[in-house]
Amino acid sequence: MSEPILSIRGLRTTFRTPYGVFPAVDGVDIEVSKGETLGIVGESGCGKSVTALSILRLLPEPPACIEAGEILFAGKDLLRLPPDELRELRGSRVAMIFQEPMTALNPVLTAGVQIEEVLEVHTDMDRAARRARVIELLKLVGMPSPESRLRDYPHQLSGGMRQRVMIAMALACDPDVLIADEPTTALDVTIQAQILELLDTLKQRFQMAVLLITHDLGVVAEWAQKIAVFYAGRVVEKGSVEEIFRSPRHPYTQGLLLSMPGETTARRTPLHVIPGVVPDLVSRPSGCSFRERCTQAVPICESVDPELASMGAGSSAACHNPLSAVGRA
Amino acid sequence: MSEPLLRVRGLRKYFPIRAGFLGSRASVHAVEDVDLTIQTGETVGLVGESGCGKTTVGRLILRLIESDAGQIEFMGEDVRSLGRRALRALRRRMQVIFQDPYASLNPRMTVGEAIGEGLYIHRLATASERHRRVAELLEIVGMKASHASRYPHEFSGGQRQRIGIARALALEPQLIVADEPVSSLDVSIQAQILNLLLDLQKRFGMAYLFISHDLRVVRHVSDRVAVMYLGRIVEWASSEDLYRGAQHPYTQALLSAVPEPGRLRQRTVLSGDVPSPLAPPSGCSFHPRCPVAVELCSRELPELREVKSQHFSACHLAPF
Repeated sequence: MSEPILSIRGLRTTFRTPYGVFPAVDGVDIEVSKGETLGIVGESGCGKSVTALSILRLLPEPPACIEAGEILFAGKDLLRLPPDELRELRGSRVAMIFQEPMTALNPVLTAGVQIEEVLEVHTDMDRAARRARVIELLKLVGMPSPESRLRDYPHQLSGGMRQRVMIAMALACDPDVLIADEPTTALDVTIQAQILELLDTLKQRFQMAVLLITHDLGVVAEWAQKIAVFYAGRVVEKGSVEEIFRSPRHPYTQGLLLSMPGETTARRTPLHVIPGVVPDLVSRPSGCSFRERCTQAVPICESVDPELASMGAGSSAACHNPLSAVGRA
Repeated sequence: MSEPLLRVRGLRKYFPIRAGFLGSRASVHAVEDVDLTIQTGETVGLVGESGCGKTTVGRLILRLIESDAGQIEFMGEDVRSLGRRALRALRRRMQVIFQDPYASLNPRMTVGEAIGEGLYIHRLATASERHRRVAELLEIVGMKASHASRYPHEFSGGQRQRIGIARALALEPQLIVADEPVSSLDVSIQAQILNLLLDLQKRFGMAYLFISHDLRVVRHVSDRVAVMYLGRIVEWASSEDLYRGAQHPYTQALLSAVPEPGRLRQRTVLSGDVPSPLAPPSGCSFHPRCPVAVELCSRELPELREVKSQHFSACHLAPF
């Protein structure tokens, strides 16, 4: 396996609130290599977006505070980079697309101007070269009639087209890493398929590393090679998609997989349920934060927070009493 | 087959909008010629992408908005011609659960007041009976009787959706229109609510019109499924038949677009966006995106017809 282009070690991001300081992300380790898509899954509040925003230091500090850890990109620790160097990197070598393109795009600038702005900031292209590149980018992301669409304002574009504009902006400087935070959640399923297919094609063509953040396990199953499952600010299981979908070792991962209605679940029969609700930041239990909802819990779970440990076959899980491995069929 | 609980025929709704600088009139063809039946105690799924008119169909049936043409017959009554008093009586038998449990509960009403409101409006119970019934309903949906005195903001999304369900159940309706009831919930909570809805149907025997964009969820809960595209029903069949052998290219594309773990298959990625319902394409409104369209499709509107036993498709080329 090639050296990871981006690796996050022991990331801890906290938020200061009127009730005290709480960690939204607490000791996260993930890495992604070139030409690889890492799917980051978890339910609301699990810390997946905070992790993504921490990479580019896009969180307002305060109330957020990156307390510990390192984020290594091409040998440099982004957390220790001076602001101007980080700004140079942000949007050019590490780019990001967001869930809601309507709020992420500037409503008073045309699509073309917004894409061009990225080039203006990060390259020394002249105006004509930038214009040509904008059209090239819009073609690349499959925008219909790009020459006229670049003069449209975001409200004149459909949801799918707005997301294409965002992707064009992200790709403007050939990034090494693309962070996609719920890029298709606001889109219809047929448009979602178009966008994910586009991201996949571009990833292969430019050998980008993609961090695909989503709550939809189906999306990860189809479009990612690696997966990291987040729960309450931690990675509870990670490894290859194939291995983890076939034989999840952490009870939470298994619960998530089983609670999804799918082709194999019997219709109109009760779905598998993970009892209880996700703990909020303020009231995380001691020890393993999943233990109160866990069917596998043993006494030690109450006192000791489990560390990620290798489960073989390249995957690891943070569990004192992991599920046994399912043999390969 | 017995008389259906609900029969909808030729339902139509256009929303007028002002367009152009002289204010010339145009209209959004939100619902066009929709036929639907729901039997007692069954679940009918209504699926489609945003703007296809599925929510409007639900609202027209409940008469939360007025339709322009068509028939809605519920338990033998003509819903469209009911006067105010009769309509109020009808609402006891037809209830609704909304998508967003944060927006659909009045933040200034306690949970008990919200659930008991229908009983109060219809003067169905004395105050003490009402309290007892509210407590009972809260327990039915898996909450505690003591929650009645608390306010919606004190609860999580899943709990709020349970409160919305208890409110819909209060008047013992025969039909519940559930409009995206689990779309705003996390996967693990979604499963809890779906199980609750199925369990309640077993206990009380009401029918659901289950409106959703999520094909996985619809497949799981529905007996029969109608697929909508640009205001029209394009396919209508039992859940098994539809998911096993879709008879409309749009349904086929929708199904293949749903990402599913552990499935290796050919994906049909549709090109283009859903056209504007302001100016739907000629002929079959799906033809500009359809991978198998022929020349006829751009000229002639396909009728919804039975292409296999109890399996209806509005495609010139069906059966496939």
